[in-house]
Amino acid sequence: MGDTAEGTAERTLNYPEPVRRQLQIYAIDPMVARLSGSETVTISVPYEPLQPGPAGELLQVIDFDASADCYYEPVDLEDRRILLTDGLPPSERDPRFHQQMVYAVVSALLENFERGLGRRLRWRGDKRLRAFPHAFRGPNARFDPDNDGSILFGYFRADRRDPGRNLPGQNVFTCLSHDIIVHEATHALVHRLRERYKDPTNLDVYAFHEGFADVVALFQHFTLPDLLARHIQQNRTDLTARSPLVELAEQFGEGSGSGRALRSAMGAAPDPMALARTFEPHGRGSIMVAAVFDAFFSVYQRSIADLLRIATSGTGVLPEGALHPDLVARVAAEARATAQRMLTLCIRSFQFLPPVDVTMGAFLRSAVTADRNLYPADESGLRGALVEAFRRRGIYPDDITSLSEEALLWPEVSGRALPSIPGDVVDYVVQETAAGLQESRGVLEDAPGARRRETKADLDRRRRANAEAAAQLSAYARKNAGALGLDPDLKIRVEGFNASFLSGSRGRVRVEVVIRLVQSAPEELHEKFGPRLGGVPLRGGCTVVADGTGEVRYVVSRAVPCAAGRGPLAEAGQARLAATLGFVDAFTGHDAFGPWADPKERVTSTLNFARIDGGW
Amino acid sequence: MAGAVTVRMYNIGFGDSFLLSVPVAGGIWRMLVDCGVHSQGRSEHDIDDVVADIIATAADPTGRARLDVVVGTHRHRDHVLGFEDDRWAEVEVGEVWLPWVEDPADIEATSLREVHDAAAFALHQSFAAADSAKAELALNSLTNERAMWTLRHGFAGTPTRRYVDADLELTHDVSGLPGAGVRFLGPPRDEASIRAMNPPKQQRWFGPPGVAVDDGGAVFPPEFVIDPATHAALYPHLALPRTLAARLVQEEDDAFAATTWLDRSVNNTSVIFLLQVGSARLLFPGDAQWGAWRGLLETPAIRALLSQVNMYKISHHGSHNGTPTELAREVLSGSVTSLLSVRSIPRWSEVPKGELVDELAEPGRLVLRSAEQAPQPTRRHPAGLWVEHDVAI
Repeated sequence: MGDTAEGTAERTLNYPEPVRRQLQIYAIDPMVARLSGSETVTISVPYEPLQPGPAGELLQVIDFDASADCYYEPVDLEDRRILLTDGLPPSERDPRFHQQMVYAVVSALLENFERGLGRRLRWRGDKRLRAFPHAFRGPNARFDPDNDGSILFGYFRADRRDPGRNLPGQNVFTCLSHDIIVHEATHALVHRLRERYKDPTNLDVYAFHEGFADVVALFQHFTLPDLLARHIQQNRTDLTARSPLVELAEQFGEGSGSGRALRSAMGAAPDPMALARTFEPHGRGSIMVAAVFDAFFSVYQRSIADLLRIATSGTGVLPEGALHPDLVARVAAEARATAQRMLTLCIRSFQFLPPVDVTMGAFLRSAVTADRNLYPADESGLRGALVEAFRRRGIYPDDITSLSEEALLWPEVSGRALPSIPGDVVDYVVQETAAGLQESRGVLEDAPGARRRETKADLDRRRRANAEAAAQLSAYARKNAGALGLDPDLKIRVEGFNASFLSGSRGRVRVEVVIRLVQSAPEELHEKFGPRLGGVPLRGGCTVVADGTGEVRYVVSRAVPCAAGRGPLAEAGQARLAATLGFVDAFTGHDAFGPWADPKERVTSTLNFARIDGGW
Repeated sequence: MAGAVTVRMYNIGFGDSFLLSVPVAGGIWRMLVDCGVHSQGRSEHDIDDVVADIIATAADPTGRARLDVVVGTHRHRDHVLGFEDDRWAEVEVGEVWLPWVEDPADIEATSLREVHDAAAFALHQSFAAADSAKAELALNSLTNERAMWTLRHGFAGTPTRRYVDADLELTHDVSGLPGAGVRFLGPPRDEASIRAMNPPKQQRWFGPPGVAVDDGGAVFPPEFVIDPATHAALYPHLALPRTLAARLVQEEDDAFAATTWLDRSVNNTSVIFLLQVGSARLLFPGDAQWGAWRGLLETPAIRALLSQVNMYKISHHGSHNGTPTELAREVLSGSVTSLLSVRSIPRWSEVPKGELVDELAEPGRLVLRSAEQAPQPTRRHPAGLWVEHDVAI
């Protein structure tokens, strides 16, 4: 930066900081790009100054190859020669383009999450997300939740006998697949938002992780320019037709010899019994993916019905031949908007999801509640379609009395059953979030209008303020443990807290303060059931959602498992213990690895990110 | 019919070998189910002694040995190793039952077998140096070709070969045992089951032989490659914690997962049969694991059949997914006798699974172990080579 020639006087007038950065990527992956005839797509990501890597504030791309024990030259996206060309042009042979694509796709994803969550993501301390574009040789990619979370991409040679539409034996790089990048990065994001979802406490936890990552990867397709319009033209507005839009990782799937894309938005025909028979996390996750897409397709069909009637003089039947480009553009705009609404709805479920032991039913309830608060009327029918699509696949929340929207919503805390969150804490997190939304990321201090770059002293001050707020929340939780569904005799950990600024229909803006509290079951209980649990931890906790004044509106809790006692809390705890043990028993009943594994980690050594079907 | 089916369970170690005898007009009808031991779980009795005892027991006064039926439930070493013995060439056999996947004339079976063999071989090679216990697990899945040759082509008396696949409807006659019947409940041969026996494609350990082998060098040309020391000097902001660098490669874990997967796949090719002699119902499931049981437990008629079993050979040496909890708890009767052929191996402390054995030994039920003295009227070989149990006809 600041390429000033030696000897010139110090500059007094600077240029305004850019807001966006354009970068070239492959559309979907090199194979799809080659076959579709348009190799390149240029996407726009939020601007931030970058060091070679690229290394930015949230994401660091490190090109270390563990199989060859070497590094590959990192790309410098600030070099003026490639700044002029929107980064390097797509190339399978230049690792620096690979790094650029990983950076670009993950950055676009981060922006989408920030939009959905209504706040800036901020990693505590130096916990930047690390991406390794060529971590190892092998047909796989995976998320590693340890060491602050890294995403690792492998590379491999395409199958010699059955390479699909690849060259036999050619190198296939998982880091050049848009879908694999988004899938793995979504694992990392979900992990940042709900760390405990790495604990396999029920059949749905990993299925949710997998399904959610696929949902996000598929909906990100709809944000890519050109691709959508092309397929709407090609398939005459039918988005359910087989196309790269609704398939995941085509090159990877074909290159590894399976002859098809790895997964798809289109599941089998809805079967309410399928869920009960599906145990493998990806398979179970695909049922959720199919449900979300089913809902999306039906809302999309409804939203373009008027356009089709206008274009066809009221018949709604499209004539033969190519569609009018204006119609394609309008239909594409509807598809994009609907996809974005659906993706945002899914991401917003995190406002309400419990801190431990997620289920698909809890996801549905959380998504519906979050959306309803912002769009009370459901004019587009999005929520109705979602509930119906989940019902058709047998995904029901286990604790509701009907599938009406009222029954699905998380119950509001009545009256003043809980005192408000301490005012200083609310002020602090709301201000922090508001400030975060204004500032540009990592902008240098000499830029006009830019906020000062954070110094070490600033960082320390914020750390202290965070610790202070956490202490106050901890005291609040202890005092109100009973009403929060927590066990007052067990330690309560404040796992995270933040504010969100969310906007909905009719200029509606909501400020919400969300706090996550977690408890561990007593040591005796872990010891007593240790061998039976095979490494699965017993935890409970709750997500507290308050409004901008600190008044508590929702408490979504999962009771901490316990063995005995009376009262509603103890009953809920016993039910959770029984459910966890039941899950572990059923799981070990069909796990091939089980008999040969260390009993202390019989379940966790099989159900983790590295192991489930080889990661990705 | 009067009398009993006598089941002799050999104390062979971590493995299976059962000799069944039924008195019939003019002699004794005999069936041998498996004869093998895991390399990690030998008992104090040599497998040669087990083979010798089987042949001696089956011999007539002139020394000529005859078995009416020999069953090789599946190709794992702990079920077939004993068939490597040369003495089998002299033993006359009436019929040999093998799973359909062993049929040399069956193309689908042959390709499935090739994939399993290639994977077992690759896995065994990859472990051989590093970890002997894991290598042994892979070794158990290796072709065991010599033993399988005996079962497919060996024995005296040109036996008939029967390649079994599951048939949930019909009862078949048993050669040499009039009035008896056998139901073949496994291995399944529907499309879904075959898919489950085929390895997941993305697992590199299961790749077909055509997959390129790489040299392990850098994947990009030298001008892009930087050695770690230079990289650290040039780009200190990209410094990588050493612990993290070490985590990037986890090949061995992947391979171990592949091994256990392979182990189960072959287990689920087991012949599962239910022998019915008068009122005796004997169930021999080989090493069937969860996948193979599922279809059976979902079929009401088969559940009813299983509830009448009075002798159950515990599947897969008592591992917790060899016998589904549902089978042990809800389907098998309250008076079933179960035979457990296993020798505990410290590193696999979960085999046999304590809760499962307890369930099968509930009051009214009985579990006999190959290595232990059992209550009367069970008989035991003076040196503990076998135990015998009678199932009334």
